[in-house]
Amino acid sequence: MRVLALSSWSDLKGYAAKFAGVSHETLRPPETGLVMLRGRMGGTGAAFNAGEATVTRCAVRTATGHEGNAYVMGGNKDHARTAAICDALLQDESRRTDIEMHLIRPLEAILMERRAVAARKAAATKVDFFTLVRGEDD
Amino acid sequence: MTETAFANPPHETARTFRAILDAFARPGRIIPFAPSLAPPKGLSPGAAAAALTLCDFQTPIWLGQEVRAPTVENYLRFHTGASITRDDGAAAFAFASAVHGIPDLSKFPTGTHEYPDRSATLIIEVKTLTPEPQIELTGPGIETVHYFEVTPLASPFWNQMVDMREAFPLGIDVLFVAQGAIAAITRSTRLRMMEAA
Repeated sequence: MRVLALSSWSDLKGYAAKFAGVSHETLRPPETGLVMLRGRMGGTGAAFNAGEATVTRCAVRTATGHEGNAYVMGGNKDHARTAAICDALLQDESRRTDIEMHLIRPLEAILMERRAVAARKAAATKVDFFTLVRGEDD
Repeated sequence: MTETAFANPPHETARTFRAILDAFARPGRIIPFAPSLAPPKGLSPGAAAAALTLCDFQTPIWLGQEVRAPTVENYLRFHTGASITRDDGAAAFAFASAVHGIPDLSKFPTGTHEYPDRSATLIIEVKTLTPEPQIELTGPGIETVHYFEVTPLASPFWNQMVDMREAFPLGIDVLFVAQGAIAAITRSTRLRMMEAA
């Protein structure tokens, strides 16, 4: 689900095209709302509200009776529905490996690659601070 | 297994809200109301429609014994976002069925004098609603006098309701849901049991 939610819609659309066409019934149509993001300074401070994020959620049930849920950042309803359908298919033991191999793994690889590129770009700007001996003790 | 809710939420909740509004504006009047819903067993379509329309994350729901089932709890939690409470003193909406016994009204919140609106609204499933002279209703929303009969509710329930009228403006409001019809009595309604009933 994490991979389905974090992947960009253009990537997901391509890989999920052959899975997302299954017949399904909509338990909760895609709906967009706000969630409050909370944070802690340094991971230990008091919780504060950092801001709100737009989130779209959807829930479906496939013809085989498997239920899938999706919560996706942003307002893309197609993304939420597609992610929910894929989540429902993942609950189906007989289809799970297929989806893992042909949808989740490739999407995860793309995500990892993006993250590695971002990390490399950030690493290139890293400045190592060090203090020269100034000889004041002499 | 989660059941589906309204197919077209904006229109159907608006229609439901209008029916409930009419019922509360004209206490005792029987309003035709037949939503197309397939809720889990234990919850009638009318009660489910009321829940989907009225409840949200700010309104704890209390379920009577006849209505309480994991499928019903999941359904309400999933579709309304409301929490389910076992404490009838904390309920904003209470769902009960009068088909197998009469709910005890004594513990539901009746509001405070500063905030009389912080009270429970009861949604009671009943067998039939008919304009027979069992209960005589007078008060706001009723031009002269109005009669109606709710089966299978009998005198213990109505005596509780009559007693609660003393505490006005505190009190609870009740929506009766039968198959294909709803009716309401508000805390401002004056009730009198008819002798023959």
